[in-house]
Amino acid sequence: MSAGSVFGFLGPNGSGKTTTMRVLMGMLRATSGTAHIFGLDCWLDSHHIKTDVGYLPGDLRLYPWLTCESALCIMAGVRHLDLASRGHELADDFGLEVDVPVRNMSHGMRQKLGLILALAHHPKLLILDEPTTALDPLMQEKLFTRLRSMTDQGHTVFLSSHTLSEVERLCDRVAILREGRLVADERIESLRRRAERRIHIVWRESVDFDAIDAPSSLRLIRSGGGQWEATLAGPVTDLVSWCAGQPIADVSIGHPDLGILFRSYYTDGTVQP
Amino acid sequence: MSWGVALKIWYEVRWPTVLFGAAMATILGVFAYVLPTLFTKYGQQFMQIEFVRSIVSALLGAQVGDTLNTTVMSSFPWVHPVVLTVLWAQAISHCSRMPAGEVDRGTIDIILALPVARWRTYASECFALLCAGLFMVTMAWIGNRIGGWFVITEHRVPASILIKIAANTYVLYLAVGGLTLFVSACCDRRGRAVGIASGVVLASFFLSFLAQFWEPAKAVSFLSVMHYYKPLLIVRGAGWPVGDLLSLVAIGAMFSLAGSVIFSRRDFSTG
Repeated sequence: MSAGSVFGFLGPNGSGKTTTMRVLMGMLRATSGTAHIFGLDCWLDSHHIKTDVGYLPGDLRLYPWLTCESALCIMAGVRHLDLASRGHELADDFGLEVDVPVRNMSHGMRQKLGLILALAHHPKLLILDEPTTALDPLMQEKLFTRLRSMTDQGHTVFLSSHTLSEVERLCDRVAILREGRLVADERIESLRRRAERRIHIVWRESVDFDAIDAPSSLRLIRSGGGQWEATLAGPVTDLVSWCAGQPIADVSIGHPDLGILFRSYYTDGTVQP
Repeated sequence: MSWGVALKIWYEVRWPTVLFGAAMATILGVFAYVLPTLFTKYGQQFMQIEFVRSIVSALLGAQVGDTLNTTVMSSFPWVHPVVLTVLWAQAISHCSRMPAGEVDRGTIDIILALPVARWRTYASECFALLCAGLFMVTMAWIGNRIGGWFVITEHRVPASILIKIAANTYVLYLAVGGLTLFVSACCDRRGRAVGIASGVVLASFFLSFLAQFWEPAKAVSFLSVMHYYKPLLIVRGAGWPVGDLLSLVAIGAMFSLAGSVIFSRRDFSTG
């Protein structure tokens, strides 16, 4: 992972995303191989690494008696830092009251407290396991803005998510895990270039797909009533050139749909070239 | 140890510990007043019954003879099952919180995400155990002294002797706490840790009790922590029970150390 980037970690349930994160956090020892952060071994030097790491667990559980205020006190004691001002600033930004105990908090408020604890010490690396769980869209937006501002300052974010739109929007690079194995690790632009687009063509006259010399990158999904629903796996320019010579009334070309690409990785671990 | 982790423990255990301490002080205070009064009235008749004498001897861990004197009366509250139950309940509930309770509740992730070596986290728990034990025994001592104000001077335990009993009680607490920390380090469920630790402690108590009646039990009674806890002998004028104190400290330290090694090396998963 390069510094100052957002790295997305995707995969279906049970593929090993959380286990990988727990290995990185020194909670589990790798059964084989090693993991390193900042050049240090994640098991042997775990406590040194965590000085500069903020972590949000996927299934966040907090002490019922904990308040944001007491949590910041404890974290300040552990990290030997004054976290009060930044902690309060984060609490204000996320709209969390600092003196409410966890037992009286909603799921979303607990998630906010977890995020505050992960962000308060301004870590070089953030490891976030499904950070937007239980957050409303407004709060998700605030979180994305904050994460982007951190990466602009050279901090790195490693996050797992099931929400493809947020991965597409936030991540610079994506790795896809399936049954414990990495099946893809690419920059998001590269994936976008390979991602299929939804194509909708309206013909002026009825046309048979097999009888027409369509680009090989165009794959018909359904046709009828003088209309085609198709996907395009290649460059748009080829399609546009081809369309120019066809009796077409209208054509609409969608954005690259990473969802199709991810789903193909999720199901069989491979994608169509 | 880590002061930040110690602060978290303080937030977590302060009120339960205060309640246990208050219960301990109240029970010791009441016993210090009631038992001498009760035994003065009915003790001699009771002690004529062989069975009662055996039971009292078994509880005190030494033969009391056929007369119930102030010595026996003053040491009795410290071995009373209710007092031991409160003491052990506090030690077991306190020491089963981490890591078994944390894993059970899912909060272990918060602890392990801190930049603190695991052995330092564990050392903070041991420090908390030392402090909680000191508090519990101090409350027992205070309760015993307050209860003693209301009885005649002969029925009071002198402070110099009381301090030795308190020290013996403290190291007994540490031994039970150390055992529970060890069991907790091996478990993922707090209920299981509490069950195992309680079972071992009750078996230990029962073994020590049986050893007063039954020769085979006597041969293995050294395995019981209660074998090293004898307030009656202290009250009878023996000096500091150095051997017993060191044995209990060694038991507590050995289990704590073993727990620390396990806690530092094991994997942690939640859910």
